[in-house]
Amino acid sequence: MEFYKAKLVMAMIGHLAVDGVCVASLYLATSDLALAALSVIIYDVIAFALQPVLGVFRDLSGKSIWFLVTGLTIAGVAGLLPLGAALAAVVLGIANSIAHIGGIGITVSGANNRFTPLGLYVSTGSIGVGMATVWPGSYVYLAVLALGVAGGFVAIRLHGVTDAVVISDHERENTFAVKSLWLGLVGAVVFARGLAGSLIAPEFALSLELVFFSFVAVFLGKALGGIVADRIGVIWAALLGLLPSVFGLVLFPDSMVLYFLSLCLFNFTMPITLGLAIRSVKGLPAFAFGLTAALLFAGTFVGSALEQGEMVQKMIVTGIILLSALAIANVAFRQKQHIHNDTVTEEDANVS
Amino acid sequence: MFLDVAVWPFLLMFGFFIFVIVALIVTSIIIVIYVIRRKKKQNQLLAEAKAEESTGVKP
Repeated sequence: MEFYKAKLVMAMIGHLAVDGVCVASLYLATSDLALAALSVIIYDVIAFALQPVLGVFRDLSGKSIWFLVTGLTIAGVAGLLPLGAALAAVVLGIANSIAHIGGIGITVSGANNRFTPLGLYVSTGSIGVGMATVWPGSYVYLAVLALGVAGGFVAIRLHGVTDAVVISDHERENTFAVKSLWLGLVGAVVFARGLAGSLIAPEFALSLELVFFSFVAVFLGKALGGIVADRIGVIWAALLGLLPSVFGLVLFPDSMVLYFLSLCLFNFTMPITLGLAIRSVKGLPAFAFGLTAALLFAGTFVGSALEQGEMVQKMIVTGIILLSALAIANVAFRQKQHIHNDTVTEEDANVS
Repeated sequence: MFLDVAVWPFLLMFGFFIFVIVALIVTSIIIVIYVIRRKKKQNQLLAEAKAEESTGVKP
């Protein structure tokens, strides 16, 4: 278990490094604004949409560490090479996708159905993107960090520590299964969150420091969301995160304090929806992670293309937040009922 | 004209990327369905073989 904690911390650092080096390298790849914008879109599409497919392959192979090492190594090396914007977008997108899938495999292997490790793992990516956005010149350090984490995992692997937990789970269960309704509901919430997230914007001037602070707020929200969900339960954590966030994101976006607080609370649901998605499948956690990542990006992509009036945007965001809270509570309640029914059945079997 | 000419490249690009995202998601779901069905069949065959081994009668 102690070794799991070390691997989780390394996966978190790897997540920070890979997101940082990819985004920073892309920002510096070209000075042509149109080409830069197109490269970022190509990179995002590959990095997010490839994850469900790669997730299935990780779940079938169980080779989380090798996925992460491969992704980190390609990203680290490609980040240091002058590849040109288009080629860099493709290579870095693939590397990022592979690394994310490997990282979640390592995280889930010792999570024991808890949300805390999931929140901690997904949180550090926003710090990496924040560093790359505010200080793109840090790409060299981030590339070296990515390669260092990859080297650390190779050392762990050579030391003889394997992904035994995941493999033994598969062997014991010897089955894969998907609860389509649960996964569909969670997927809809994740898509809606991406859509809402791209529509909300603060109504005050953002300096570079404040841009970085908004990434810190996202980081805190994702990290705390998992911890809070484990302490007070999924339903209360989702309600506590989503409902008050309406104040800062929709009603008072001109208030800096309320906006950052709400941004933090809004991201509470990230590890919650990820955990619920993973609980909706049996033996396919990386696929569930990849699917939520792809749907989140699809929502963001659609949202960024929408050109609606300000009032319509606010109504959409409020509606999405309220419906998301209801849907998350619904899935959590159904899963609780399902676990309760299983326990009752087992007790009945023991009595008879 | 229904839409300004300048909008078409944006719409085409947007449509293409949405198509790629949806195609990759659907591909992964198809693979998952295939994997689940194959595993189920394997387990069924295994169970039948075990039953045959223990009883000597083909199920």
